[in-house]
Amino acid sequence: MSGLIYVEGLTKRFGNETVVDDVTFTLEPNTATALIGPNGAGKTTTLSMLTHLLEPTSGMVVVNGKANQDFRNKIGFLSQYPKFYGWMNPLEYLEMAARLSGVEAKSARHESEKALDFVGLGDAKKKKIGGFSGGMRQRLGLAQAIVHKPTFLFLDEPVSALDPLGRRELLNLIKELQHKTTILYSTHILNDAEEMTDQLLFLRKGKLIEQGSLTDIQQKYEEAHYEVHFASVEDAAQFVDASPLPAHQENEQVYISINEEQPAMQQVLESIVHSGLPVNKVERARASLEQIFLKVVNGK
Amino acid sequence: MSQFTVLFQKEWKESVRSLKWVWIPIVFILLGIMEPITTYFLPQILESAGNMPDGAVFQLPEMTPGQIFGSALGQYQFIGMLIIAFAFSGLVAKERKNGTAAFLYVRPLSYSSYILSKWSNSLLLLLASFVVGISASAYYIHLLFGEFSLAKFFGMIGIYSLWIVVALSMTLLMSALFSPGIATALSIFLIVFFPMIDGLILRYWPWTPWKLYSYAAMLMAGDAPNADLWWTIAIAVLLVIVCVTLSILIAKKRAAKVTL
Repeated sequence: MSGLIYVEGLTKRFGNETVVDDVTFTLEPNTATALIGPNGAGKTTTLSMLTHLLEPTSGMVVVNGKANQDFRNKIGFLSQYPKFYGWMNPLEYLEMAARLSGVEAKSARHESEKALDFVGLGDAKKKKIGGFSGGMRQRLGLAQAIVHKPTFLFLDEPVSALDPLGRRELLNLIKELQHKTTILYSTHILNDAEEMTDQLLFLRKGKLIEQGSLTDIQQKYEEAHYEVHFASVEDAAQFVDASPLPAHQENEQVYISINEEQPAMQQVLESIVHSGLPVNKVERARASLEQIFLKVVNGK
Repeated sequence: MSQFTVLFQKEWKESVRSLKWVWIPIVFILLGIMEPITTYFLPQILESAGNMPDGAVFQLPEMTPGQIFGSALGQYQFIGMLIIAFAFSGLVAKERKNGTAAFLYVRPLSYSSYILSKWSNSLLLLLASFVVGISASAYYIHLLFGEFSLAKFFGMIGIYSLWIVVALSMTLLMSALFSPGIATALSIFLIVFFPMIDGLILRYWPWTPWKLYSYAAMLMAGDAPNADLWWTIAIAVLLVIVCVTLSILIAKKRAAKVTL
C-alpha cells in the first residue's frame, strides 16, 4: 500500500493559545521529511495529532485519499523519551506491541525477533528492560515502532536525547528504513536533518514558515560568498581599501559577497594577485543548514 | 477479544512480577485470622500484660461466631479498602503519567479491552485474596468459637465480594479520571472514609452500596435477607456498570493527557 499523507489547515488551539496554526503539507510515499523548529514550535503537537493522541481543532488529515480516518494500525511511533514496563523483557514487549497493532498471534514472535535483531537487541531479548541504557531503550523504541511493518513512521526527536555514539547507531538504523517507509521526524539537530531528508518543514510558533527539499531551500537562502584569509589584519585592511570588489573585513578575513552580477572566482583571484599581499586561504562558502535555520526561524 | 487476551496477559504478568499476588493474599489472610485469635486470647493477653490489681475480675461478653465474622469484615472494611485505594488507584493514571501508555495509545487500541483487562485482573486478585482470607478466618472461628451456618457464610462472602467489586470499580474510575495523587485521595475518600459516614448522612436511604458491608455483617449475625438488601445489590451492580463504562469512555477522552 502506498503511504501518502496530505495535511490541510491543521490547527490546534489550547484555550486562547494556538499551538499549531493552519499547517498544510504533503508526505509523498516512501520519503523522509524532517520537521524542524525550535523548542515550543509545535512539532510534538503536530505529531500527536497525526498519531490520534490529540484531536485537531480544525483541519484535515487525508491518508491515501481518505480524510480524518483512524489509521493507527498503519503507524509506527517513537517518542523522544520512550517509556517501557521495566518488568518486561524486550521480546514480551514487542509481542504485545505487535499483537495490539493487529499482527497475528502465530507470526508475532517471529516478527518481534526480526525487529529486535534489526535494532541489534537480539542478544538482550530476554533481559529486563528496567536495566537498559538510554541508547538501548531508544533502539527498543524503534523496534516497537516497526514490528508491525507500518506504512508510516513518526519519530519525535528520535536521537536528541542520545550521546554521539547512540545517535549514530540509531540514525543508521533509521536510514535503512528510508525509502521503504514514509517517515516524518521532528528534530532540532540540523545535522541529522541534513543527513536524511527528502523534504524539510520549518515550524515557528505553530506556523509552517518554509518547506521544500534541502537543495531548494539551500538555494533560496544561500548567501554564497568568498572568504579570503590574509596573513595579517593590516594586509586585510589594505586589500579592502584597494580592491574594487564589494568586500568587508573581520580581523584577518575578508568576505566578498556574491550578488546578481557575480564576481567570479577569477576576479577575486586577480584582485588578490594584483594587490600582491600574502594569502593563507581562499574559498567559496555556502550557508549551512544551521545558518538557514537561524535565518528562517528568526524571520529574516 | 484478542486485544483483551494480550492486555490481560500483560496485567497478569505485571501483578505477578510486582508480587501483588504474594503480599495482598498474605495481608488478607492476616486480616482474617487476627480478629478470632485476638478475641479468643484476650483474657490471657490482658493477664500477661500485668499491672492489674489483684482480684480484678473481667466479665468479657460471650462472642458468637457471627459477631466475630462481623469484626473480621471490619478489618477488610478499613485496612483492606486502604490497600485497594493505594494499590489500584494508579491502574490507569500512572501509566498515563509515566508515559508507558503512549505506545498503547498510538496503536489501534480497544479502550474497552484496555479497561476491562485491568478491571478483571485486579478483581481476580482481590476476590481470590478475600475468599482465601475469610476462609482462614472461618477456620479459626470454627475452631475457637464453634459452629456457624455455611449458607450464611457463603451469603456473606457474596455480599462483601460485591462491595469489593464496587470499591475497585470506583477506584478504577478515579484512576481513569484524574492524575495519580488525586485519584488515590479520592479513592480513599470514596471507599475508606465515605462508608464510615454513610450511615449518618444517608441514614434514611437504606439502599446505598456503601451499606453492603453492614448487610454482610448483619446476615452473618442472624438477620434474614430482606427487600432492602436486594435493592442495594441491584443498585450496586448498576453502579459497577456505570463506573466501568465511564472509565472506558474517559480512557478514550484522556488520550491527550498521555505523556509522550
